Amino acid sequence: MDVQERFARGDPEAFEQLFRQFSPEVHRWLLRLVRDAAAADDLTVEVFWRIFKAHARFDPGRSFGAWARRIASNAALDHLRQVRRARLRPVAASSPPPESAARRDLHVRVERAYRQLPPKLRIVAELALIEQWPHDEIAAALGISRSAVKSRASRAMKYLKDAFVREGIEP
Amino acid sequence: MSPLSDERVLRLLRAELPVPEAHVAATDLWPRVQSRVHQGSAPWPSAVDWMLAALVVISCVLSPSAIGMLLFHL
Repeated sequence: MDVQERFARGDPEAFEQLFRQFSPEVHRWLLRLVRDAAAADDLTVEVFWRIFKAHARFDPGRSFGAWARRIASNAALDHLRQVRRARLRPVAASSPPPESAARRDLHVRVERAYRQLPPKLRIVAELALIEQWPHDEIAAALGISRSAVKSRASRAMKYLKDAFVREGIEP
Repeated sequence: MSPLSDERVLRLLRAELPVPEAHVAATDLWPRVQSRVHQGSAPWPSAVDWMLAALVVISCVLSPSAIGMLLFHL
C-alpha cells in the first residue's frame, strides 16, 4: 500500500511523510499568495491540520500536491479576508525596500493599493498579473473556471487602476 | 489626468511587488502540526463523564451540605 493510500486510511506515519514531502511546496505557495512569511508559517500548520481532518475524503488515486494546493488556496483566502482591514504588514524579506525616498514612497503606495484588493481578486492578481501564469493553470490551482479567472483578472486590473489613482500614482 | 494603462499597472506591480523568492519556514513546523492535530482530536467527554457530572450537580442541589464534602475531596 503506498503512502497516499495509508494516509487516506488515517495512518499518522504516512501523514508525517506527506508533510515532509509537500510542506515546502505548500509553504512557498502560501507565501506567494499572502506575501507574509510569518503568516505563511501559521497557514502551513493550518493547512496540514485541515488536510489531516479531511484524510478520509482524499482519493489516493489523485495528486496529493494539487489537493494540498487547493486547500492552501482556501486557507490563504480566509487569511486575506481576516487581515484585509488590518494594518499594513511588511512584505516578505525577499522584497527589500527600495533605496531612494521617492522609490520607497512609490513602493509603499503600490503595495497599499495592492493590499486593498478583495482577497479573491488579489489571489488572481498575484498569479495572473504579477506571475503571468496561464489562466488554465490558475483555474486548476484555485478550483475555479477559466472564465472566472479571466473575469477576476479583469476586475483586479480595474480595481488596481482606481486604487493607484486614489494613491496619487501618475499615469 | 489620463487613466493608467494596463501596461503601466503591470509594470508597477511587477517592479514593486516582485514574486517572493523561494523561502522555507524558519523552523520545523511538524511539532506545531502535531500539536494542532492532538488539540483538535481531544475526545469529547463521554456519556459516563456527563452522567457523573449530572449526578454531582443533582446531589449538590438536593443536599447542599454535600458541597462542603465535595470541596474537601477536590
